[in-house]
Amino acid sequence: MFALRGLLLSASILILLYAALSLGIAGAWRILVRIGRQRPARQTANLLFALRMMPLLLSALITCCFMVPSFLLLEPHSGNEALGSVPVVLACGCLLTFALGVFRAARAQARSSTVVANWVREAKAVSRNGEVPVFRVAQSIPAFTAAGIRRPKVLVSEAGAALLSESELRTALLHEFAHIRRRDNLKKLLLRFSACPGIAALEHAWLQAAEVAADDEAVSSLAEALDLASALIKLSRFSAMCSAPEFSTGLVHSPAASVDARVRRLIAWRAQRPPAGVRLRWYLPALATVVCLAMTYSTTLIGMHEVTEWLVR
Amino acid sequence: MKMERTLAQGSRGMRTFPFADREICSRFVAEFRYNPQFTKEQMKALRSFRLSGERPLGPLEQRLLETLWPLGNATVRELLNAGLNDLAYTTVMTTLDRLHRKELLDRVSEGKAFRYSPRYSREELRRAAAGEAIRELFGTGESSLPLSYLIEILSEEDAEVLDDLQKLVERKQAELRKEDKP
Repeated sequence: MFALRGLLLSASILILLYAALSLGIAGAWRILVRIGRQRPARQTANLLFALRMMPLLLSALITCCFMVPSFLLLEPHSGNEALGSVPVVLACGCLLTFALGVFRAARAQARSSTVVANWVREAKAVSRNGEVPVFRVAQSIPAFTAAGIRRPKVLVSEAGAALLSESELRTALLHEFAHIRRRDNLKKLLLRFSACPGIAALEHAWLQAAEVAADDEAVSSLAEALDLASALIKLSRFSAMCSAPEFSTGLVHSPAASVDARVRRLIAWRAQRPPAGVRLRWYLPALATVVCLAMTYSTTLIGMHEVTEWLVR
Repeated sequence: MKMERTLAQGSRGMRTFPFADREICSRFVAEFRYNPQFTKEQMKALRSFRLSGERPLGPLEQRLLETLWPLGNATVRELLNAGLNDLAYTTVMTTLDRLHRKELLDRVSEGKAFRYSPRYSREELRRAAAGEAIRELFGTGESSLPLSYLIEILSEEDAEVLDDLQKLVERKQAELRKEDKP
């Protein structure tokens, strides 16, 4: 009974925190991104992803570090305290939310795997001895696709590749490799798992930032940037009959109008040095927060226990 | 330029691709180059193909159509008055006649002259032209790939945006080539 009560209360706190943090992030993410808009594309993409995952991670962290210890240490083990209906309903909501997340992620992953497996079956492997195999696909598929989470691969359609010159083809492939190195497909899977309403705009912003970050990583000179821009323009004019699976990334994933910003950014490419001490700026507040929490840990546990008591009654 | 490249390669501070990835890319490019599914002509045509940039019409024919579309219909004289006064009457007349024979214009007699009207809107013509070009490109080729599946006709606005961007990129590439020349 004690363990069950602990589980129900933990789940209740988890879902309450998750909902509150999701609402907070849905309202505040634009402001947070605007504050740091001068940062490189890679950092912007990371920041957006971190914000998107923050409700889940933070609520899980608070539950594990504060809720569970406070319950184990401060709740009398032999008590016959009755559990109200509110924690039960909340715990059911929590279970349902995350079960739905697992279902959605598993279903999308299964669909993606099937589509990619069908494409690969008729594909010709160009290079298998590298970490990431590249396949030539003679079907009407999107021109460039980076697919797979555990065993990522790049698929290039014959027709898409034929549209591009050698240098354009090279930078387009490097763009796909960048997606794989950044594990963008795994990130998409995590987003699918931790679904929450009202946060679609943040996901869309992350998708765009991830494309820009992959552009940045794929080019190391102005000539390469112009090649990639040219490839983007050429491929934006065409489309394959079958669309890319959910857990995949492609060079062109948006209509021509939004390609505009990426191309203009590439045209204005400049080599950049990262500002010195940028990492330190993030580590210091994080360290300060950890120290503060450690110093007030017992007080926080008592406070958390009071919250759970209030929830039960 | 050299300075920029050195910075980019050496101390850009961002992650640069490991040699292995670039090696794979180069291998793919080489493999694709030597074993293309398409003939050289098809590849060349594909790369230079532009939906809105290379219509199967001459520049004068295009200009006449561009003038005729907003007017709806016009005689040769009306077209000359509508901004084509740098052209000779006979030039406009023969070009209109050629467009009529290409079944792009309808005409009705009006006194001694003809009144011409476009048979297709700008958008309809662009779509038809793109489709025709692609059929020509792949219809008689050796490749059996269903390449026509690849085609998606963009909206006029999007095509214009892409055309502008393409010009911008080409201009920048030309500047870069000029800078690279010693």
